Amino acid sequence: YQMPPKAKTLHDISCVVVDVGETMGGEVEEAKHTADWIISRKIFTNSSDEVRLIVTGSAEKSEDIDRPNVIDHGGEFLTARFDMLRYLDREVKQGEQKGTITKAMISAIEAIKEESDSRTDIDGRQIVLITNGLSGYDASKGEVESILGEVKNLGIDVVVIGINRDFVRGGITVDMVTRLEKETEATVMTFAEALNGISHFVRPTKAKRGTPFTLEISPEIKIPVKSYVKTKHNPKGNAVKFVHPDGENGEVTRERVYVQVNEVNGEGERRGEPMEVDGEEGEDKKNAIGNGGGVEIVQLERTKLKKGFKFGMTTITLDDAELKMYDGSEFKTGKCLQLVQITKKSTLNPSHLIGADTRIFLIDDKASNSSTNFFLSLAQTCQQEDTVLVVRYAYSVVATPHLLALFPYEEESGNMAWAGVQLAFYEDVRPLQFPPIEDASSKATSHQLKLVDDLIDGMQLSETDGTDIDSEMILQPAYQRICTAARAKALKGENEMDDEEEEDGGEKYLETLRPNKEMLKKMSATIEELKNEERGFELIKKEKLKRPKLERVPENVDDLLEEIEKSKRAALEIKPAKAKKLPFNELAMIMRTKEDMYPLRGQVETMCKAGEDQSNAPFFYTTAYNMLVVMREGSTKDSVLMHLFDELMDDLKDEYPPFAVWMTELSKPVIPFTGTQVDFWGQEMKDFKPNL
Amino acid sequence: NLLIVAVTGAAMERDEEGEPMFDEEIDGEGRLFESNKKLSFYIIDGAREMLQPHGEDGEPPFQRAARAISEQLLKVGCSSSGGLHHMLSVIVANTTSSHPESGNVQHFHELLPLDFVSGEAAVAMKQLANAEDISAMFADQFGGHAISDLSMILRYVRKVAKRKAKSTRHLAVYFITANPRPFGEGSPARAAEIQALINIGDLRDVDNAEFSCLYIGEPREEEEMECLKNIDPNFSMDSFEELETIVYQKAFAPRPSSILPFEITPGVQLDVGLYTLAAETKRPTASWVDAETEKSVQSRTIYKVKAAVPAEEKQKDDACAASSMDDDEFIEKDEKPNNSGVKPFVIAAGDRHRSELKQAIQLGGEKIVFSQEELAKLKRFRKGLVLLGFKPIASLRVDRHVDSPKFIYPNEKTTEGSRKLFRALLERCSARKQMMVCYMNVASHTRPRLVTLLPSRNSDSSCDGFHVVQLPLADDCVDGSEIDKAPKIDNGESEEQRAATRALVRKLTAKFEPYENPNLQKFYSMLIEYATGESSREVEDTIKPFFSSERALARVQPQLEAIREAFGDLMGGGKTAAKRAASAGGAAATKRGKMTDGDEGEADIETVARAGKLSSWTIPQLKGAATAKGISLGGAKKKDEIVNTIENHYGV
Repeated sequence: YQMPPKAKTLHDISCVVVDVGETMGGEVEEAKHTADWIISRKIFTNSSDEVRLIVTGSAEKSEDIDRPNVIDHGGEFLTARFDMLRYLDREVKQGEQKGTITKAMISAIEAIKEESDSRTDIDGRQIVLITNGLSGYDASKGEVESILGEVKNLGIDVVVIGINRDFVRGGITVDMVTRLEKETEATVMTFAEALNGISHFVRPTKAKRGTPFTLEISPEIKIPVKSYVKTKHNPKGNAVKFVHPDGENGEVTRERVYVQVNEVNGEGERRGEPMEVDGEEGEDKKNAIGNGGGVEIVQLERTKLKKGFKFGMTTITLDDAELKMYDGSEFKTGKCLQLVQITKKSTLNPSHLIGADTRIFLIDDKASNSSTNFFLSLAQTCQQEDTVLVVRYAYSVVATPHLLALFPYEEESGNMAWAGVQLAFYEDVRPLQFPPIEDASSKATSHQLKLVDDLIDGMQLSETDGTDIDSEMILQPAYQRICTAARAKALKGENEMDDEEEEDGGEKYLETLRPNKEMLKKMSATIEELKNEERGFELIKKEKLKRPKLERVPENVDDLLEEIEKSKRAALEIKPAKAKKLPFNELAMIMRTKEDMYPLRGQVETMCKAGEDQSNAPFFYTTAYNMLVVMREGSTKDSVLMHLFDELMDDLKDEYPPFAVWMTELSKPVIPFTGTQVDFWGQEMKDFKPNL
Repeated sequence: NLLIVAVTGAAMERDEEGEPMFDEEIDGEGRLFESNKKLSFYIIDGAREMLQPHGEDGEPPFQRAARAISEQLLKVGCSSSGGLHHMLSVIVANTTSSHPESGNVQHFHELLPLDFVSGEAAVAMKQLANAEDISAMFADQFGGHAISDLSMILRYVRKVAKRKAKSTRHLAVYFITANPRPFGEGSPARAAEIQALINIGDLRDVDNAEFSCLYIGEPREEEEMECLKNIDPNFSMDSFEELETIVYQKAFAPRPSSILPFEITPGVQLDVGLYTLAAETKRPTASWVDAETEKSVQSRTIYKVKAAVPAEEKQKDDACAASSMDDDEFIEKDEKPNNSGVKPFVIAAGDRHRSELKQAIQLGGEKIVFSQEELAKLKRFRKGLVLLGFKPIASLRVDRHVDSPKFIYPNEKTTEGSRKLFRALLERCSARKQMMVCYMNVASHTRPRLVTLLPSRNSDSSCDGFHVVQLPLADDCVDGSEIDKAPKIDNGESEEQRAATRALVRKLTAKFEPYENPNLQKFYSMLIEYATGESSREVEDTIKPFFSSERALARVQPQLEAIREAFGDLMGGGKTAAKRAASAGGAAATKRGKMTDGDEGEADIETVARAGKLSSWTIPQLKGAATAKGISLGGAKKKDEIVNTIENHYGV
């Protein structure tokens, strides 16, 4: 099957005319900035619109004798590209003469005219004129007339940015603009107005057509509807592709390979089970195996493989044909939207709405009157009754159906519609039980509750006082940030990133997501009361205790412990206790209670932990071993201590498997007082390994 | 004396509940690594009564219990396909033989030692459940009936549990009996009961476990259940049926995916845990095995430069694990035709792992290349929740749902006082129907979001907290220009119509309980079949429309009749829509040719022209429609020209 050839797409062409002449004064930066944003936005939306940049009044002069003050960058219409931005940024410098706006306009019009004559795929025509309106006394009346005539004739939309009527009233440019505005509906705005609207990146979007569905209420009630995706979670921006890290950064293709890692002995014979290693780990394993053998990595073809699934610890394997029997295709009953039940909105748990997107359903404009009436009546009734339709929904023939909750609501157009969100299945719901939040210790005083009420009153977001937050107007900061970085990178032309970017943690992109400062100012009294430790809410942040990191290995155990203790104190900022500290061995012998044992236990664990991370594991493990020997001896005097010691042993075995392995190799391992005495460290490990 | 030891032992362990902070490893993202294991022990009474058939089907209770447990076991096995988390053990009490042989085990039989579920365990349980002569099998396997000490079994259970999983979150012990007096009569029985009570107390208080007693015997009066109520205060007569009918749900410990600082105002900050109450469960991804040897095979993804890599380059590779063995023989073998499907794994010089790649955006005619670290840095934003203000709950829109909600609950462990402030906010927001609008970023590498916190209070207080509902940002709102084009329709609903619709809606309204996912259930049936050899299980399509059941349809027939009377024919739309609806409802999504629009004739071309959408038509369509309407196209050949001519005709 071959896709039919794509219909020719139409696109707009626009000339961006920038005045950077002497009369622009300090506003030249704003002008360049505006032009930059106009082009940047087209770049980042992957717009097919074509742009031509025309500059007037720059230090650089044109070779055109008639219009030396007008530079037609590139000389052709092109889709927006970074070249234009770089040109604006680096080469366009303010000239000493004023710009000749009318001449630049004529150049733009000529360019558009020429393009229109030679091509058929042009939709809209546009000229964006960026100037403060102070230049251009040299134009003749005839020129202005011809500009106006051509603009009308060619149907060019003119947008003028930068003229502030409060300051600039006269002059030929302003007269021309005023006439354009009156006679051709040109738009005129200031730099601030323009930049406010365009100085951010937007995603490439396209209005999607509706998808037809039939809402089946019963075998005899089938309503044609149209469906649109209205809200999409984290929509795609510009596709970021993986590229090869070599000099050319060529595109890459993904290939899946199936490998088996076998241990082989000196003769190259395989032995035992294939190893579970991956990537770099495999490398290490290979080294660990050492002489007389190694690993052999073989690649298998996909056709020689089966798929494995787990039933608890049991692995079952199936080939593709067997698997196909269970693919659930019998449930794929085609594209559908069928009523399963109706339910009260209040019985739906908000957390059961697990859909990522919202898909809305409108009545198909081709539906019969009776269907339209029923559709609207159903939506209205459900809204009044506060009920929701639960429907079986499949997007296409191949889609697995799931449930959609359809909420009735009123569209912007005033028509009733349904908003559909995917509902959770039984298997998706996690029955979490939290301890009740209402107990004696969490009860707030009436003063505290009043403070919360004050907070609710004081921090109301409302449109009337301009504090409202309309989420739909807020841009995703992450997208703005990445586009800004990409733009900066492209302009610099080198593979470097702003250090600034890295440092500030993206704070400058979060401006729109901060609490309203004015509001907080008004609330300062309440905030102070909230912070008041006695009358407000006392909130004590607990410091995290970090496991100490060791930088070097000290000579003996007590030094090591000293070091650990120090780093712990440093983390806690605790001053060392005045009492003289006894060495570990002595502490172990005189311990009497759990409180005595606990710190010692912690030290043993630190050793076991340290052994895991570092290459000199034997040192740490031997230390831990020696500690355990002493602790065992110290524990014999009390059954409580013995019990605690056994617990420690159990825990060590579970939590530090490498240590347990190391222990099994000793001729006289430390063993607990009760329970399995023989081969305490080894036996259980065998049970444990395969499961993990 | 024994009693005192037991009590002191318990008290001590309880002290240890005051866990030190560093027991919880909090990594950079604030995730807590705690064990999420669930342990279940089923103790089936093996007394004589359990083998006496009773009830309608004449089935011995022992067998019924075995079947119920067998079902549970299968469900645990299926749900663990994504990872192991639930260990089960089955113990038969009051048996003559003892297993395993040890001084701690007397007159009870550890039928399934505590472990993760396996196919063998499922088969063993099934054999018991489906045995034809259970008495003979019982005698054979367990030697006969004797009296065991429940307290000893419970001690054994506690010990096993402790050994297998130290930091278990759920421990549940079920005691299934048909005897309302499992300890018998008289003073020795009384002593045994006291011992058992002590151990059950330890289970509950020290190990934080559930102990349930499930009665499976002849129906009896409530008063006769005194003894069982003693050992299980929540005892109810139908508890066993609950076990049989309960649909197994995967156990999740209330473990936060992240702990977030929540700034109410500058300087007022509490800590909350972020939880997921529902997330889509998919079929687990398969692992790979060699079809012949059933040995495990790993799949790796490598990235190649798009142009084909020359063959000789494959040989001069040194970075790869296999060829670094300097074994030239392997490479030679590789060049021979290979029919086995097995060849040494060689990474070509240009091949890279995903982590080694760079990323690029193609924009404005250029390729902007980022390293993965650079992109990661750009994605870093401040983590946490910040209150921005309050809004009435009613202002939340239904047509702007984005992503599944999360849930927050205070975390007292990291900030003391969090619960109090949280509760105060919850109470006031809930009472005043207010929601909190907040900035939220769940981890430092995720995208910042705007969310609203909806107060949630349950009748049983088991799920009090705030639902975290995401608000749509500008980026999430899809271009709605097509939606906005719909004209406003006047809804001249008559009283009769309104009444008919309301009657239908009310008739069809029922409480919503989540449905089982047939697709997943099908997958589970596959697991069970292959793991236990059970013959094909029927999986029902649970989400069929209500009218697929004739009974349900008959129930609402009068209301449906009334609808048809009030509204008229409701089979699709008029005109072409009927055709379209039929094809849309059918199995295949048919290609919607543009000719459908053209077919609609002159009335339509005018509307299309007025809407300025003529250019979406093809030239033959335009010409056809224009001719039909009698519009002279003159010499217009290009589409633009034709469109212009038609538009001029209508004065557009």
